[in-house]
Amino acid sequence: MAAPEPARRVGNRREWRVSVALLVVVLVLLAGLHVFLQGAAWWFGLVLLVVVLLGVAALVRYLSRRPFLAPIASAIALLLVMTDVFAPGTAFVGLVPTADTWTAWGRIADAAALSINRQSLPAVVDTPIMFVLCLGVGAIVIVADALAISFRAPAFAGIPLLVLLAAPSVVSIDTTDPVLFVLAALAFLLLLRAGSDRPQTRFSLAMAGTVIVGTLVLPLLLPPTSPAEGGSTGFGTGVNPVLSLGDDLRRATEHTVLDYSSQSGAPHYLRLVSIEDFSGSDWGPSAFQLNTRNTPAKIGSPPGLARDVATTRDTTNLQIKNLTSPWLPIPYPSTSVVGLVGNWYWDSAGLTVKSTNGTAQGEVYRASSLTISPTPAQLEAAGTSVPGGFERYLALPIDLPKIISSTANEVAGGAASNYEKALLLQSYFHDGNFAYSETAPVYKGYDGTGMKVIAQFLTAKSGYCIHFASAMAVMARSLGIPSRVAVGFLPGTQLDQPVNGQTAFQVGSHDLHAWPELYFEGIGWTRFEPTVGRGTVPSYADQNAAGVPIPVNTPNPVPSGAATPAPSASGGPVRGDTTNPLGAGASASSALAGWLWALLVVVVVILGLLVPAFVRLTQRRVRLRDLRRGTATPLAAWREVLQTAEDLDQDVPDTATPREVRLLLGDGVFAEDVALSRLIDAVERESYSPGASVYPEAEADTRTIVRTLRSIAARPERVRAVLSPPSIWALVLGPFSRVG
Amino acid sequence: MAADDFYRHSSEILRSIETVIDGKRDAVQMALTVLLAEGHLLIEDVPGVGKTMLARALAKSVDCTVSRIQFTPDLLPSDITGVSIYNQAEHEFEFKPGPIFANIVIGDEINRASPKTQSALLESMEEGQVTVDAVTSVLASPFTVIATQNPVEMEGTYPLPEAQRDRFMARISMGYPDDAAELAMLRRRETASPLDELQPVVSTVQLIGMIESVRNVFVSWAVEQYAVSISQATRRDRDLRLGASPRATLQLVRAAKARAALDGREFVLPDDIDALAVPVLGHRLIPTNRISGNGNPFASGAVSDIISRIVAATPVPLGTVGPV
Repeated sequence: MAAPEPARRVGNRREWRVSVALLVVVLVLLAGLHVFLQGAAWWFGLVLLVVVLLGVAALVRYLSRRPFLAPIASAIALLLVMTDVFAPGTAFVGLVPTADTWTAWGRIADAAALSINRQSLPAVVDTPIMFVLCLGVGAIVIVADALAISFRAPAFAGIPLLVLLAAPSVVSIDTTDPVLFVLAALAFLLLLRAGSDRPQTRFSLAMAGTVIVGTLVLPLLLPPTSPAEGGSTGFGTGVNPVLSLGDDLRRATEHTVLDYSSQSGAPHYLRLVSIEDFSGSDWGPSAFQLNTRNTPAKIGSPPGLARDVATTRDTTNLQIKNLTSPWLPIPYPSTSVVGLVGNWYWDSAGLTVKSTNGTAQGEVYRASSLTISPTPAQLEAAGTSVPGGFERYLALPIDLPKIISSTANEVAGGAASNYEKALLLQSYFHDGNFAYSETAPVYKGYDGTGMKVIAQFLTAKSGYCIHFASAMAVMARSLGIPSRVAVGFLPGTQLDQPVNGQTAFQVGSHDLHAWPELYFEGIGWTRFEPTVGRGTVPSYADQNAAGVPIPVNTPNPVPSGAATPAPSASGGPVRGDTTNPLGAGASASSALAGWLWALLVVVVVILGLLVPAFVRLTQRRVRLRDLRRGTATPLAAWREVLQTAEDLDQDVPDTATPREVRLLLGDGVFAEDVALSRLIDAVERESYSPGASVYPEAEADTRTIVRTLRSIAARPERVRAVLSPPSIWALVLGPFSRVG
Repeated sequence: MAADDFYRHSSEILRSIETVIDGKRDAVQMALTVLLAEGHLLIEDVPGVGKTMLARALAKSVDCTVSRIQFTPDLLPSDITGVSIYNQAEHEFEFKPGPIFANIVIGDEINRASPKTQSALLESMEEGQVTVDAVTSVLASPFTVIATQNPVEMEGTYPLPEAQRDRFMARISMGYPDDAAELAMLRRRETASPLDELQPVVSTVQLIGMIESVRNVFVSWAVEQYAVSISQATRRDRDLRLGASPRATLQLVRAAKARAALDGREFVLPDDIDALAVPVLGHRLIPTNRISGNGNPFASGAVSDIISRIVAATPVPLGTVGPV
């Protein structure tokens, strides 16, 4: 069999060429992801993966002519790689994925979701994110490879690749790298060239142009995809309260997060989570120490609380209306929480309650809590001593900006006790120089967490709760007071109507709040309220209250505390500025989850719209293959011709006989066409004559006729026939169709 | 009969007729189709366009017995079928066959005869036999009636009853010739009548062979389905008071077989059905008053349009589907 060999070699050479071109395109597109991913290691890892996948596909193609084997083989390769790299040890014989592998992947995927939510842009590529990247890029490459080579439609390969190209645009318009964008477009043209036997027509160029323009236009169509507009819950998709806190505060429309009523009728700060580790550039909740024996029905006693401190018991009934947080809002310190539906456990360090698999959404529960009322004397008595084991609450990064420690020292360094230092720090924020603003940090570019942000905040003196809270906590640490930042909700608004005879409160998304908690020996974690204009200052920290000492900062006395505009302790929760200059595109950088969803939606929509094109492509290939093999009757060829005509917007009713069709097709261009004559003759014999007919030219004739039909059609019709074939749409949308 | 012979004979007949009838290929072909399909032909048109000429030319081209009946209002049934006459020499009644006993019977101006006489044709056309005085005589084979009629608007005409119209396989009209054809006709007839010079080109035996060939033409289930669909559609159509009879369907398929054979095919195409729908069904259907209005309910125009619409709306089956 000498004859088929050259053809096969030519085909192979082109396939290798397309594989390489595809690799180039993917390399460029992957480089484009640098705008939201830190480092470069991930790029090399992904390139390695892509090389493996494309290589496997090419090798399989070299060994077998069956077009569908290559994508299957590379999918298996991807599966093996994912198993070996991300779930080693779970696979059977080190290769075959098992149920354990699946579980491991699920865990990694959860971790990825968490990591994506926690991180701001550009994100650090940790293992879970790498897992997601490998899965996504691998799938895209397999689909693109199948389209470009197995289906011989390199132009279509641009569609899955478009996802990679569009990703930076969708995340943020500003971060798109124009150089890489143009490079990607050029690489795509290279792919088109490599994939074609003949010189490229203007169609391909138009296609490329469409892709380029499409990606530029796409983000313009999608600006409102950030989670701030999601309108969902207190934390959007929110796992990291710190990151989404600002977004939630800035949200134009407030919604109810929860309702509660307390037995005593007193309002409560509701705590979700506490942040103890300030070392990183971004702060998030500390790792949750899961202990399955720690069910919230009995929560451990608050650390450091001595017996002589006055406490009162209170019971609070809470009902979550709208909050998809894995943490449960409860008063601090709670001693038991009952009535929960999901799997909830408490953490001994922060006494926070967290779900392992669900969210707080819809939970209705009763929390028993202590209200600790230390006297100023007791706080004063704590002195400056710090018990052992609290080093982590004093840890600060080595490169702590000087302004933080120097300011702290200047403000409160000379006070005699930790209590007085804390009072001085609190009044430093309240002394009138600081302003509450939810938007200023965004405009001035220091929104978020981290030491640099605090330094900028101390200079700009404008920010919102997280800035006040973290600044006070870090300054306290620099003065040797153990501290942490609690994130949760303000007590909310008292409702006019009591519920079940108890005073009821409603907490909205604008009540999200952060506050510092300082540790005093003998009392435990004690709340302070540095934020100007929000929240209530506890009585032990309110210098207007009786018994609270006027602290003295010896080396550098501060102005009289009486002048501080502290909010009244007796008043209800003070709402933030009501003329919130909101929206303002505030959430440009945060929330990777938002764009991930947007991306997913775009991909699904695009793929959904292209399903008919794929169906049509497959249909044609199957028909032509069957005709080539002789397993299909001439009717298959006839249907292909009619369907092509229909796709090209030619009116060929099914009430026309084959001979009538000849006159209708292409306005009579086919009157003398030999191929069509042969086909019609074969169709008539097949349908209406007693004997079976032999029609060896079926495939060639069909190709000829289809080509002629295309050549006489206008370009818009040709493009539509490929991308959105009307025949398939008719099949989908209406029961009456020629096909079948 | 071999396909070659069939083709040769049929083209000879066509050429022969066309020496007499100028520029009427469709009508001539239709006449031959009906002859080969063993049907009867009704030619309807205004006087003087060559109806009788076509009938006679067709009859003369085939070497078979031909008779001609001129229908008039006073024509009696026995003038067609024949009479029993008392033979005084042998003292018994003797049947004198009428003009119906011929292979091709030309009924000229058939709608000028009284309904009674017209109905005398009924039995003979459908059953190929005649009963006179309780004696049944079988007619010749092949047997074809080629009748001409004037449109019913003309004076002194009786419309053909539905039952009799249904017995004609097809109705055609001649139409006026175009300029060139009319000129050629004038030239040709200046000196002699070309009809007189016409010689038979096909013998009776050959004609029977051709008819046999037509019978053997294959009709696929798909085409039968197509014909039935069209007939059914005429019965459902809002614009038609009377739809096609099952006999009409049968004759449509038979005529299609003849057309396929004349086209050199051994199987029938939906195109054959399409082409024959109007001539075969046209004279059988009666439109509603809404369509015909106060005019002639048998006028061909409105009905032809309806049939064309039905044909255009009936899907063409493809493929070897259904019982084989």
